[in-house]
Amino acid sequence: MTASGSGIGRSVPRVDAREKVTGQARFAGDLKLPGMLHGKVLRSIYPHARILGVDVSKAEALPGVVAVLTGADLLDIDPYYGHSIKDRPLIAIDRVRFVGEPVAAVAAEDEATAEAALNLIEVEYEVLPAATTMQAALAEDAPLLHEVEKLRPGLFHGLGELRPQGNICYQHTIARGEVAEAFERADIVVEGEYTFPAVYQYAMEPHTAVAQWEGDQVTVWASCQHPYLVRAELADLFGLPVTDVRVIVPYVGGGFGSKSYTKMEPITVALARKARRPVRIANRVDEAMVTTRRHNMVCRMRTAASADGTLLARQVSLWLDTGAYADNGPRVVATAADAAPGPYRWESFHVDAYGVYTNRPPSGSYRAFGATHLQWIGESQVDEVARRAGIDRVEIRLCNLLRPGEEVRPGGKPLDADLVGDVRKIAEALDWDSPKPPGTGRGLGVGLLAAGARPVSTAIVRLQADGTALLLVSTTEMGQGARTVLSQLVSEELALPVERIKVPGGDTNVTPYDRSTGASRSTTLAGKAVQRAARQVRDELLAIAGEHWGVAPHALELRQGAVWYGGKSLTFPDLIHERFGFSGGEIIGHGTVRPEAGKGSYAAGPVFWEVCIGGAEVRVDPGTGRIHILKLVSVADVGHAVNPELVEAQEMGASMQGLGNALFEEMVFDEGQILNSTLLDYHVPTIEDLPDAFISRLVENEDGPGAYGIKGVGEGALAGVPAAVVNALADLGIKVNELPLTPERIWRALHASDVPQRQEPIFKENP
Amino acid sequence: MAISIEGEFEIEAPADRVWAYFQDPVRVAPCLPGAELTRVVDEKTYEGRVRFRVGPVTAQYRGTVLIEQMDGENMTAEMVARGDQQGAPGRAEARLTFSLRPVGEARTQVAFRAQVTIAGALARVGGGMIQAVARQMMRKFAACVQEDLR
Repeated sequence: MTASGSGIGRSVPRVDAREKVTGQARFAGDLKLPGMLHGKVLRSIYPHARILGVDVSKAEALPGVVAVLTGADLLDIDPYYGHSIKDRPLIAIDRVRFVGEPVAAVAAEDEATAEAALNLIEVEYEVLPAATTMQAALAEDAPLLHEVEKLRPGLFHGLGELRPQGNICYQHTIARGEVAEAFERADIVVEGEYTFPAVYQYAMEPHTAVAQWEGDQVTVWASCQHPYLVRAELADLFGLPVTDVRVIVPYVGGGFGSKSYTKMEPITVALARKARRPVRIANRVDEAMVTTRRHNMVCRMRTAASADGTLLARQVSLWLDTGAYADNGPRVVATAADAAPGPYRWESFHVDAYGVYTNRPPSGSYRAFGATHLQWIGESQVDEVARRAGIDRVEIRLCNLLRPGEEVRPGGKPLDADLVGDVRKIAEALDWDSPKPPGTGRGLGVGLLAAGARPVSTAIVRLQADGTALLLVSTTEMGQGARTVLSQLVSEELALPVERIKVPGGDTNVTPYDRSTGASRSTTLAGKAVQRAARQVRDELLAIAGEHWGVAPHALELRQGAVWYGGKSLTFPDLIHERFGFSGGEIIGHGTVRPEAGKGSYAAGPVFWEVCIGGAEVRVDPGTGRIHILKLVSVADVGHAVNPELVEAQEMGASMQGLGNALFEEMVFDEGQILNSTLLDYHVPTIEDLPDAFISRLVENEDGPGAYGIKGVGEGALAGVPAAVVNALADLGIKVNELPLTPERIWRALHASDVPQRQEPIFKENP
Repeated sequence: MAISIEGEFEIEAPADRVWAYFQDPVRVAPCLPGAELTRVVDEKTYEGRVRFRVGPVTAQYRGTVLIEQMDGENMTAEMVARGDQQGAPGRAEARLTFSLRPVGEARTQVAFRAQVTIAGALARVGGGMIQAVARQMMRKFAACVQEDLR
């Protein structure tokens, strides 16, 4: 049998486009429940302090205030959470560890009253010495953030026993061969110390949660990427079976990692528990910025090569600032370590990666974490090797890149992408061999990102008696087009038009288990579960039709919402009627994805290697140091594009965020206090920052683990862009070891000879 | 955030007159831009309010000033001011010392140093901007003192 195959490979319009442009789409913050209160959070003004007392009596006395929550209200539960390390109380208990940490929360009849009540809460602090930078946190006599012998494992931990070393909460090493020997032999050694700033994910919708208790059951509407992981953490915190916690995810206004794992849900649930009424908490942008961010990093890297440009060895030490609580820090550390060698055929490499607690807001996931941190550094060293060896920068990559099937790192999945082909595509789009106009620099960067997280996804397809289908899947639609793409997969399998497939939002009481929406995993993994669910429905339809005509299913064809046998057809409603003898009933298919080899562990993973690649052509104004992006190029090595326009949109979005990370964005802290927490001071790329030209190329080698050879995209370009821009600058003779590439930094680099430079290394020795 | 503010200005008046003037917080307070003395607790303790603008942020504090030392012989003084921000979570603490030095017979140099720690909403504007505002306040203060002593 065959399906008509019209569902995938077409750029059908987004299924939610009309709803969104007409303002009909509902987000968590739009929800209004009867009796719902508004919650506001009082946040710490100190980076590190003991709480001697919290007097909430005046706040409680304010008319309109229903409840005030403090750490003292949590004596009946174990109030600590954290999916990797259980190190964080849902509201401060006895101690605050960063400026912005929740100390109390007020639920009131309206927002203004809640806000006013915050100012009536009196907190008595004893200020403690703070470690507000990694340098301070790694110093010998540094104040300790978590004075425990062993860190408590989180629910989704898998890290082994963690004993903090001072403020280092997690360490990850990957190694192959003996680097020392290779460096001795090398003709060319490039080395440097590099810094990457703290940046903010900036989703347009800040974190929002609404919680409602009914008896001992709680329902939470949240702007979250991973509803099932949030459900598990809430159940654990409040001592409930998971079935008594229901997490519903309406549309989400962008995530980029900022809404991965558990964020504002626990404090909202705890406040609603105390108030005995539904409570809504919606962060402002400045509050969202201290809820999660991207790790700032210091990295020392050196690369060894022979005189002909053969790459030999690489050694890396890197320190990631995970802030006061680990959040997703350990995974970021491991992923950064994976990205550090870069996709080359090394004789040996050694990477030591550390996650460091500091008295700053916690850091977690952000699109292409790890790869974005490391790729610009590694790729700038490869360019420098090429310059010193006197060979072309594309050529050096073509010679040294890993080929499909070769080991990326010991114990992991071998390379599953054609990087040589991808680099050729970038070079071609940049007209690499054409003469450059004067004052123009060109650069490219290629790398790999361990993608897919854990391969656990399920989906249900319910074909209804009128021939429409409901797709139940817990993938969060956050602007990436998940509902559209997953509809297309059902459309492909059932030969149903996309308009006849409905995809409601995630709801843990309705849509089945999915590990998460992130790590470029949804089209690949949730998509595979969707395909399997749709195939069960298809098989049942064919079986019914085969029985009806007395023929084998393979003689039948699925087309236009019907099963065909020669010139005869039975529509889906006919088949359901045939099945149930009644104008009702439905056909249900379910699909499961689980680790198909090994244990699906991180060590055995990743699910696939996402290709991170980008190219740039730039010009620099020598008077101001401002970078002008003439051309930005991306290659989406996607395996098989379900919706080419959505792939391109993902590439463009990731590239623009990559430009923001490369050129503008940096959270500035002074003694742990963020100084630029408004969008006036913190510049994210706007329409004015678009490059003159953006070129995106599709590569469809059908080499991914998903249905039809699909693999994920959406993150890689973000890591590729800073690398490409840094290398384009170096092509102009401007070398910078610090992001973002602000006009001031570029100007200083241009005038390096007449401006004193910082000589001191940031860390004198490995901690 | 800790900020160090230092400065000096000159007043056209003999040092003993300036010193006597600074002994009287009730006279001095109105010269401090945005400041208001609300209660004299004892001769060393005063309660008050101060309100100022730093760029887009207006901050108002309510608190106490405690005079820790008044050394008439060397014409130096030391005091500590502590305040809670009004209308937003925040706190400020300042340790201020000043000393007078005669410059000729009818002129006095006033040198001061303040160690200020700010936590909360105002800290977001950054130390550099607060220092700039403090310098501006100092100029207004000096002009006002000069006016009072004329």
